[in-house]
Amino acid sequence: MKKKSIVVPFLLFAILLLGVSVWILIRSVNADTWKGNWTQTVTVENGVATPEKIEQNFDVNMSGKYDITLSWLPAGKNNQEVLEILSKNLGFITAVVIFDGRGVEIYARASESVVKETMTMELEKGTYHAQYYYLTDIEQYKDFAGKYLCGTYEVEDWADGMRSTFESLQKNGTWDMTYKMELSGFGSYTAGYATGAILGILIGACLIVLFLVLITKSHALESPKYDERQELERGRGFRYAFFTILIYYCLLFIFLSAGLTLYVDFNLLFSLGLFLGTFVHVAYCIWHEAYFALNQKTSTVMILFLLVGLANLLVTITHFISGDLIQDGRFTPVILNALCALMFFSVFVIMYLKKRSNDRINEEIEAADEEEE
Amino acid sequence: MKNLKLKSARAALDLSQQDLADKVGVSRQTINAIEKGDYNPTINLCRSICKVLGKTLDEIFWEDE
Repeated sequence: MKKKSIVVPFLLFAILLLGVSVWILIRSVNADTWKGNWTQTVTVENGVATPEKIEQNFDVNMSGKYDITLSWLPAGKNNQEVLEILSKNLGFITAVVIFDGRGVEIYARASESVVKETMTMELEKGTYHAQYYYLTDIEQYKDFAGKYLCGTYEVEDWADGMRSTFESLQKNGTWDMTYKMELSGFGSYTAGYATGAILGILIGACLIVLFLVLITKSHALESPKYDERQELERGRGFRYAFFTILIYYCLLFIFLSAGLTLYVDFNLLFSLGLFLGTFVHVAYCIWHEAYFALNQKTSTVMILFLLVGLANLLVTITHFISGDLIQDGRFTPVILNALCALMFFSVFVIMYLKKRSNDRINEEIEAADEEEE
Repeated sequence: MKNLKLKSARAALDLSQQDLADKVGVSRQTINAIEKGDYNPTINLCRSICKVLGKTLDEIFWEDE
């Protein structure tokens, strides 16, 4: 009698933990974007701007590295026309300062116009605050520069270069300015959050294994038994699934390296490989009569498949109605439910086709037997 | 290559593929695959089949010249 080794359950458990850890690593990095685009009318009367300043808040949902892109131009002017923009055509200079959630300045700039300026920053999670000032004279500029721009330089020295610019500004008039602010990048959860999540999942996995061991020992759950041909076919199924996943991830790597535009969520592309592998294994095993164990009730598994397929279809329909399926022209991770439903229904189709094929073969065998008799 | 000896030995005992499969502890499809010549069983399975059918390995699994 063959003694059951502890190596196989241990290996399975190790693979489970590895999978969970990889999942956590993938999940801990997520794209985050924010876009602001607005026009502001500024009136200058006798050298006084109205409004004096405007404010804009934006949220960073995850700590991480971000690109902040800023631009401001007089309305109606495009990037090519920016050379025509001279301070003498305007009555003010825009100055911007951005503060983090604790009120610490992270960026400041003052200029007639900025076509596009991008800086990469490490941002903490929180609400950020941008203030746009409309400066009409050198004293306002010196005040702003002293607070946010010149650092260790003397304000007078710093402001000297701007004196002629302010002298040439219009004293009266109304101008429309177009502002853009974009935030994009990859935030990541904090180390504390990731550690807590990994520990939580590990403890959960241990409890599940303990539960399974207990019910197996109490004979409440019978382990599936396959005959030697089924084991052989299942091995082939695993091999094909493995190569499917390998080829998929190689192709994915090539396509992503080529810089193709993604129409689906980044995480979804990685999950898709696992779906493909699972589907290949299940489909191959069903077609070769090696999916259901000798001691397994086919009808129970089929009912389970049907319920899981229907539940996923229901979730997909709910998301479709609420418009969560596509955001910013890209499929969101909830499309996984649709894929899940598709996979389970496809398995049904394969089962049906196999049944028809078996019926045909049985008829042929019976016919041949009758002929021999 | 079809295993007609197995098929006829089974038929002689009036056993269906399912009956033989249950007795040797494999699936009906496995017996069918052996009879059709799609699967070469291990020596253990050959021995189990022979025991159930009351035949020797030579009688069921040895090819005639």
